[in-house]
Amino acid sequence: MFSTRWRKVVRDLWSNRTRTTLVVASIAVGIFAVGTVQLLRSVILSELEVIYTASNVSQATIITAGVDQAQLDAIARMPEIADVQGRSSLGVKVQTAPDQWENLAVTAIDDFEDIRINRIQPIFDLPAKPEVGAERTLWPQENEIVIERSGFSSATALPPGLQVGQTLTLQNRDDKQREVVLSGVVYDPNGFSAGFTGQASGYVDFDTFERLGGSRMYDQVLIRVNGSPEQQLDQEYITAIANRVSDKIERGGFTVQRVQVPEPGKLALQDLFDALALLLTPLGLLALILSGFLVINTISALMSQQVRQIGVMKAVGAKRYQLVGMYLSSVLAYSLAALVIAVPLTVLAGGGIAAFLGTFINIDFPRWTLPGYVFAIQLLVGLLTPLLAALLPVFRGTALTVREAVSDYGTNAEQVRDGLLTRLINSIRGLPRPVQLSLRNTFRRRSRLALTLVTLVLGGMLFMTVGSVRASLNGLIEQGLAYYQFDVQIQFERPYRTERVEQVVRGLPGVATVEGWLGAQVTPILPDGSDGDSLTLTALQPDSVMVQPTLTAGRWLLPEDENAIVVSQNVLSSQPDLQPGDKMLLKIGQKEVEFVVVGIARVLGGPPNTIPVYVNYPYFARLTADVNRSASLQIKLDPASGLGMEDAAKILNERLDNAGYNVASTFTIDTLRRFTGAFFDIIVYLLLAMGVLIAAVGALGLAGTMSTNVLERTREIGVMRAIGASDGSVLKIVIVEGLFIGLISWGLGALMAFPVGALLAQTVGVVLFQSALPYVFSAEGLLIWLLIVVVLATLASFLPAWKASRLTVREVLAYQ
Amino acid sequence: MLRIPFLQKNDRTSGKAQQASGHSLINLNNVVKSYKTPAGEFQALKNIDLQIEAGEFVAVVGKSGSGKSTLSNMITGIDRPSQGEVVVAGTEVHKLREGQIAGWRGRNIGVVFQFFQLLPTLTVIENVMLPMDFCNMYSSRERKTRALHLLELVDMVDQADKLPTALSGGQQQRVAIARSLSNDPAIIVADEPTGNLDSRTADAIFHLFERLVEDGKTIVMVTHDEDLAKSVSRAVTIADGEIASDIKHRERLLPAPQHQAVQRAAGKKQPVAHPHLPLPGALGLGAAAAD
Repeated sequence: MFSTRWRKVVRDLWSNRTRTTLVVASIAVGIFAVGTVQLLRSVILSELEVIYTASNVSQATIITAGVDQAQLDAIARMPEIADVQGRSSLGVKVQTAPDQWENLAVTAIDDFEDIRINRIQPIFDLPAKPEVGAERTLWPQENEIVIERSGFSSATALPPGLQVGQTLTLQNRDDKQREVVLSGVVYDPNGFSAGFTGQASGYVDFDTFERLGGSRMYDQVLIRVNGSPEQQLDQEYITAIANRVSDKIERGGFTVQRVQVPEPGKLALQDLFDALALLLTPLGLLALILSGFLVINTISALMSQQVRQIGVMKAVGAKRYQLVGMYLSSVLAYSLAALVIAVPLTVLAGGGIAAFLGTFINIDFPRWTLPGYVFAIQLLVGLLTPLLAALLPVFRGTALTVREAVSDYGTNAEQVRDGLLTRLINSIRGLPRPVQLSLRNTFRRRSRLALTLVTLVLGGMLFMTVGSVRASLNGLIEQGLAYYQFDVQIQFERPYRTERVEQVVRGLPGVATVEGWLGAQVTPILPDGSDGDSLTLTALQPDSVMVQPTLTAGRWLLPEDENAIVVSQNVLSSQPDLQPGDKMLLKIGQKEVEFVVVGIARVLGGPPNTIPVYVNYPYFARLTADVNRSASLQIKLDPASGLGMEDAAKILNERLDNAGYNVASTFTIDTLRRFTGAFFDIIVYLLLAMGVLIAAVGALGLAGTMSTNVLERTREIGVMRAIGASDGSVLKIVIVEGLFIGLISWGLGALMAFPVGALLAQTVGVVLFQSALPYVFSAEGLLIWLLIVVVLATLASFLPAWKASRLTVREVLAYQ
Repeated sequence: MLRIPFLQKNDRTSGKAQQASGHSLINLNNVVKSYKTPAGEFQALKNIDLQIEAGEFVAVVGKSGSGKSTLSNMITGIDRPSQGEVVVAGTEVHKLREGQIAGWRGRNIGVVFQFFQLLPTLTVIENVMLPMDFCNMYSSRERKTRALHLLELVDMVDQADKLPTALSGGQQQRVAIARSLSNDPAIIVADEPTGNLDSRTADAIFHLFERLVEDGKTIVMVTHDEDLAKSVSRAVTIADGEIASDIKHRERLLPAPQHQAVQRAAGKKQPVAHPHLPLPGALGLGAAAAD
C-alpha cells in the first residue's frame, strides 16, 4: 500500500489531468522523436547488413562484351579470388495487353541451385509476397522464367493478374516472339523496385536466354576476393584485384567494358540513410530538449502553486529530501507515462516509415521491431531529460522555508514590474483595455514566456526552414534537370550513322530537334599507374543545345577544344584534389589518351555508381573512328505538338526497331524528374515530420503555459468578473494573450528561418551531394506556419479560457 | 479525569526534555529577530526572554504586526532568531540546520495554522496520517488506527474519507488539530487557530485545546482575541516586539457539566466511545460538528 505522501503524489497528478496530459504528451513527443530516428537507422542499416550478407553481394563486377566458362575457371584459379560467377543480361519486351509491350530485363543464370554471388531467393521464404497463385517457387527450366517480385507491385510492368503457371509472350531484339511459362517469383534485393522504375526483371536459364536472342557468353563477371577482414573493406585493394581480373580477361582476347567496385561494406543507399540519420538525430534531440523546457515550465508552475503545501508539509515534519523525492517522483511518473505512449508509437511509426522507404528499394524492413539499444536510449533519455529539467525548479521550490511558504510573499506572489515592455504597451494609443491587459499579461511571467517562446520559435522556425529546404531541393532538381535540355534520349546497342537514325526520328511529327552523341566507358589511369574508377564518357556536339551544364569550377567545352574534358563532381569523391588545368590520362579501348580538365560540373541523375565526364564529339569521334556516327540520340519535342515524352519514346523505339536499329534503352526527362523528385521527397517528408513534432511540442508548451497562467490568475479573473467582465471578455483576454505569444514566436521564427534555412540547405547538400544546395527561401512556408500558429495558439488557449469563463465569482474568490 | 491513552501523557513537572536540560520546556533567551526591508532593518522581536513550563496553556496576544507570530515561529523553528537562544524540549533549536529542523518539529511540535492548511488532494484521514509518514512514526497499520482515533477525538471520524474541500472551516480546523497530534508531540503551537472561525466553532476548538492541556500537552496559542487570552492559564502580551505583560491565571479545570449540556442542547447522537477515550461530545464539539 502507498504511504500517504505517495498518495499525494498520485492524487496531484490525477487532479491536474490537463497539466499531466500536456506534459506527458510533450515528453512523449521527445522520446518518440529520438526513438523513431534511432529505430529507423537501426532497422534499416541492420536489415541492409543482413541482406548484404545473405545475398553475398559481388565486391566487384566486370562488365564485358562476353567471356566463356573457361575464362571464369581461369579467374577462379587466381589466388586472390575467393569466388567468381558469370551472368548475362538483355532487354526484351513483355506483352502486357494485346497491343501493349513493356521492357523486361532478363538475366541468365547457369545453375539456380548454386547462386553463390548476388543471390536471389524464392519469395515464399519472405514475409511479404505478392498473390501469384502458387505456394512455392520452382527454379526455371527451359522456356520458363522467374520474375522478381517487385514487378508485381508495378501497375504496368506485367500483364495484370499474372499468376504462376501462366504463359508470357516475350519479344526479342529481332522482333521474334517467344513464349515462356512463369514458374515462380523470386526476390532480388540488389536493385531498385520495379514499382519505382516501372520495369520488371526476370531470370532464365541459358537455353531460354539463347532463344530470346542472348548469347551463352557471360557479360557480367561477379567476383568476391580473398583477403583479411581489413582488406575486404579496402576499396583500393579490391579495385586492384578487379583490375588484374580485367587485364586477365583482356589478355584472354575478350573485351572489358568497365569495372565496377562499389564501396566495400557500404550498403545500397547507406549514404542516404546515414545522411538522414545525421540530419534527423539532432532534430530528434532538439524535440527532446524542447520537451525538457516544458517540463521546466510545468514543474516550476507546479512548485509555485504548491508553495503553501510545501510549507505545510515542512511544518508537519517533511524533510527537504522527502519533498524533493515526492516532486521528482511526479516527474518520473510523467516520464513513465510518456514512455508507455511513446515506445509503441515509435514501433508503429518507425516500422511504417521503414516500410515506406523499403518500397523504393525493394526491401521488406521488419515491421514490428524495437531493438534493445533503441529501447534503452528511449528509456534513458525519457527518464533522464525530464528529471534533469525538473531538478532546478524542484530544488528551488523545496528550498523555501516554512515561513516564506506560508506567508503571502513567497514565490507564489507574483512580481509585476513596470518594465519597458509594459510602458511600451501602455503607450499604444487606441488599444482596447482588454487587449492591453492581454498584452501586459503576456509579459508577466517572463522566464515561463521565454521557455514557451523558445519551443514555439524553434518548432516554427524548423517548420518554415523545411519549406525552404524542400524549395532548395526542388531548385537543385530543376538545376540538375536543366542540364538535360532534351526530352527523350535513345541509346543504341552500337553507333549508327547519324544521318540515317536522325531521319527516322525526324519523321515523327512533334520532334523539334535531334542531336547525335557518342559515349563509352573509359578508365582513368592514376599517377601511380593503377586504374581508377570507371568513368562514363559522353562525347557531345561542341555547340550542343541539348545541355545546359551547371559548373562548380572552370568552364564548359568550347567548339575549338580538342582534348578538353569536363568532369562531374562525383569524380571528386575519389580524386578530391582534381581541379581545372589538371591532366587526366584515360584508357579508351586499347588507347591511352591524355585530356586536360577544363571544368567541373554538377550532374544529377544517371545510373547509380557512374561518374559522367564530357568531351567534344569531333575529337572523340576521330579517336574511336566513329565520325558521323551516333551511339545515342537526344530529342527535343515541340511543346505545341502535344506529344508526351513517354509516348514519343515508345513510338520512336518502335520505329527505330522497325527500321532495323537496335535500341538499347530509352529514357525521358519526365522519368528522371519523377525518380529524383520521389527520392528527395523522402528527405523532405522526414524533415517535415520532425518539424511537425517539434511544432507539436511548441503547441503543447503554449497550451501548458496558458492553462498555468489562467490557473494562477483565477482570483484575478474572479475579480474581473465581479466588476462586470462578461464570459466573452474573459475568453477574449486569454485567447488574445495566447495569440500574441503565437505571433511573437512566428515573427522570431520567421526572422531566424532565413539564415537557419540556408544552413540546413547547405548541410543537406553537403551530406547528400558534397556541395551546398542552391538556396531558395520559401515564403509559402512562412504563410503556412502563420496560419498553423494562429490556429494552434487559439486552440491552446481556448480550453483554459473557456474553463476560466465558466468559473463563478464565488468559486473563483474562494480559490486558494 | 478522562485521558487520551494513545497520546503520551506529558508530565507537567517532570517532562523528560526538561529533566535532560534542567530548564523549562520552552526557553527563549534574549531573542532578537530583525528583517531587512526596503525601508531599512525592522526588529520584529526585541530581546525576548520567555520560559514556558510543560502543561501550560499560553496565549500570545498582540495586535497585528506586534511580533506574536514571529515569536511562535521561533518556538516551532519555522523562523530563526537573529540573536539569542531558543531551547525547546531540551533542543537548541537555533543551532539546528534547516534539514534537521523539519524532522525535529514533526516529532516534537504540532503546528496549527489560521487557514487550516490541509492538503487539498488528500482525504481527511490521509492529512492526519501524513506527519507520521514524514517522520516515519508507527507502522502503517498503527498510523491508520491512530488517525481514526484522533479524528474520533475531534469528532471528525465520519468525515475521514472526504476531501478537505467538502468540509466547513471549523471541521477543517479540527482535522488540522488532529493532524497536529499525529506524532504525539508534547507541544502544540497554534497561530490564530480560531481567527477564521465563527465564535461558536471557535469556542469548540478552544475547549478542545483545553482538553489537550488537561491531558498534559503544552499549548502556545497566538491570538489577537483578548477574551480568549483571559481563559487560558497564562497570557503573554507582545507589543512592538517586546513582552508587554505576562499574566498567569489560575489553573483552569474543564467544566464538564457545561459541555454535556451543550451536547444535549444540540441533540447530537453519542459517538461510539473508545473505552479509554473521552467522548468528543464531552469536549464540547457536538454542536460545532454541525457547522
